[in-house]
Amino acid sequence: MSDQTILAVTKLEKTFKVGFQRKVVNAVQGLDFSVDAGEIYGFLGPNGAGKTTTIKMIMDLIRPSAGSVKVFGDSPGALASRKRIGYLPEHPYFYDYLKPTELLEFFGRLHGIKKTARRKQIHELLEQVGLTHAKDRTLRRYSKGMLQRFGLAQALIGDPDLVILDEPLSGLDPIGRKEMKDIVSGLKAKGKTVFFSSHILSDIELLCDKIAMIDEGRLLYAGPTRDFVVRGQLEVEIIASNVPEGILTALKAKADSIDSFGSRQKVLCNRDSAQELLKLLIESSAIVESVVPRSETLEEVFVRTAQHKQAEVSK
Amino acid sequence: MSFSLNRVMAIATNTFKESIRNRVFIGMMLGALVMIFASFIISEMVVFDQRKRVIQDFGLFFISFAGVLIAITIGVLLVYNELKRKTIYSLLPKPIHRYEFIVGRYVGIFIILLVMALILSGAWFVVMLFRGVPLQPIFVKAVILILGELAIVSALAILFSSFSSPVLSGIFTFGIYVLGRQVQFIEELIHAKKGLFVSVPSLKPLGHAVASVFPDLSLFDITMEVLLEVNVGWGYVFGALAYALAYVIVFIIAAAVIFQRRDFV
Repeated sequence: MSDQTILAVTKLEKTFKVGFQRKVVNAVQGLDFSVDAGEIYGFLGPNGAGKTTTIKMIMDLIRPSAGSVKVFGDSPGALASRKRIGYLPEHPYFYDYLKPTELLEFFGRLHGIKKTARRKQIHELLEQVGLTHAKDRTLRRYSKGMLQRFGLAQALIGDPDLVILDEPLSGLDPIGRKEMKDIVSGLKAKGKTVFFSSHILSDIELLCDKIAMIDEGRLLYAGPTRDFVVRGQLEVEIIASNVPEGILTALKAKADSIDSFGSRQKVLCNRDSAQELLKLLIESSAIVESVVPRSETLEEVFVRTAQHKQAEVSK
Repeated sequence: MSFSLNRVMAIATNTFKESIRNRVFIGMMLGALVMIFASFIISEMVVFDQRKRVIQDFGLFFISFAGVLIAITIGVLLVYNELKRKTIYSLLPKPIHRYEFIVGRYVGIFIILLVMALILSGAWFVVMLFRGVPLQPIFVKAVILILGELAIVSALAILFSSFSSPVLSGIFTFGIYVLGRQVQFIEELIHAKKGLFVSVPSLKPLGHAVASVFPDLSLFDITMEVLLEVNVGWGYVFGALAYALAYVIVFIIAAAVIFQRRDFV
């Protein structure tokens, strides 16, 4: 945890008792991670991993069974810290008999924003999320995508320093997703911190500086996205043509696999032996057409990490 | 940051906006209005000197009856609907105290009941004027006391709805309302030389408990005084309102404490 840390989750646990027999379910088990100012932080995990439960504990909607959450150095229930947080719940629902301006007016009053500033901010927010044209409709008449956009607008009222978004991209069409990602990037450019959950790994990979990855309530990884992706770099793919027969035999001895496509060869090798194989090819009359480090996708790394962790736990 | 009246009033205004769209509210209001106006026609069917009484009795009964039904139905549904419609997840993370939510909701319901009482008593006064009954201060006092009773009933509905389902909350609230109306009768029974508590003495502690804990709602019913034209002083009215306020404070604090501890999964 650094001086820049604005959200610190320490040994966080949540246990629910469900059903008639009060069966104990450990929804979140010993989570530890921290978010620094100005970051886009991804919170990753499959459905039912405990992401929403964790976010609800950060928002003080659910109280932890053990551990702690500190937001801006304060408890999540403190109004001073809550004033600096914007929150978009998963599958947001709003008072649908109200118009967006009326609901933003209501939320703006709760934030203690003065009338003139409130009106100005509402106008800007609706413009930012592209809902100015629909501002006179009641929210009952909004489509799912429009509600998601409105959800973002209400999260941004009061100009919060930390924006927490629970599955902001779910239910959006490709254009909506692109717009939402642009808004998230725009928030970072304005110096805001964004913490958002998703089970769609490609979104996280593109947007986030850091990630925390959970499965079955347990932390699998917390740290820079880059480091996590590097973990998944397993092989190097070399495409070469006109490889002399003698060199090909030498390559076969060291490479993981070689496939021939006419005069071209696709060589797959591990990162350590790539240098040596490249040297062999360059020093021969072969033409090296491309060298591509082949990474596992974030999804593949996630599945592998989750399986590994599960195996550890069952031991 | 401490309690903010501005935040409470923002929540109350939103509650008001929500409740005036509630079909139960509109239905009850219209039903009570129809019955108050119908009392004019019904009064034609009775002997001349009873006509005034029919209108007075009908008017007070339907203002109180519609008010109790509105207080219970809206009161027990307010927290439940927030959870069912998931609107609570976008409201509670805003910079508000949970108790401000409860107080704001309560104030909103009370404003609704106030509007109802104003409309229905307005209609009642009009019917009385048509029947040639001059308006008297006791009519206003009777309506104010009904509002005192509704203040207790709606606070009770919110208390139950903070931890129970709407059906159970409705049953509990209505049950306490019915028993509260009988508190004086139960006290008389406790001190009587014959009757229920003499024949079944094991019920006496229960009778004591109801009489000492439950609000005495019969204090807020001055229909007999209105019909018999017995004066009721303002001192009595303010005393009853203070009594109502004490119960409201206890019920709302209890609701806030329970709500404060809840998880919104």
